[in-house]
Amino acid sequence: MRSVEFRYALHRRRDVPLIPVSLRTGGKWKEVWAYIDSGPFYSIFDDKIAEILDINLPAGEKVLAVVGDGGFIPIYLHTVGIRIGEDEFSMKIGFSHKLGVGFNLLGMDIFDRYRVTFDHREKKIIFERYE
Amino acid sequence: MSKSQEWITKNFESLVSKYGGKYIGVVGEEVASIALTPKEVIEKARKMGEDEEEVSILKVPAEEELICVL
Repeated sequence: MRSVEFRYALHRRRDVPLIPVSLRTGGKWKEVWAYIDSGPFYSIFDDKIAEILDINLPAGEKVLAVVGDGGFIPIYLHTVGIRIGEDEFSMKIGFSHKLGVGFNLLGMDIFDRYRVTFDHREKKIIFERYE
Repeated sequence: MSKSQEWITKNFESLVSKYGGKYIGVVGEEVASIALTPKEVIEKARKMGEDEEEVSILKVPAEEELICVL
């Protein structure tokens, strides 16, 4: 099983599971950071990230995602190339102009590909790819 | 992890206090560009001669957004 490790970012003595991922849609890779969040089914990124990937946002499938306050936000799903560590694959990512948090989010879909261990004692996050 | 990735992780708290609410582009151990959108971050970095694939783009949360998440 291939694995890659990331250190937690730290803010006010709290661990923040923020990791770098690279995205592309045929052009050059763009490295962006995302917060690992087991809440949403889909990974959701700011719509401004879609812009640097030359994605025509409304051309994607539109779905509504529930957010923390119980409201819904529209997200547009697009298939994007993604690289985590050395592992490259494609997956559907949602983009939204209503993402009301300060992070891009890596959602539940990423857990289909990896066993993700949040090792607080060692201050690291381990991604192990399933065979 | 690359040099820029390690640097962002180690310096995250100070990045939040300096650049919260903005996008930054980090190359190596330096903030190469600061802007309101990632497109501007890349454009500024390109003008400085950086390869866009070497630019690590971070949407820096504002302090209050971190409190909300955490």
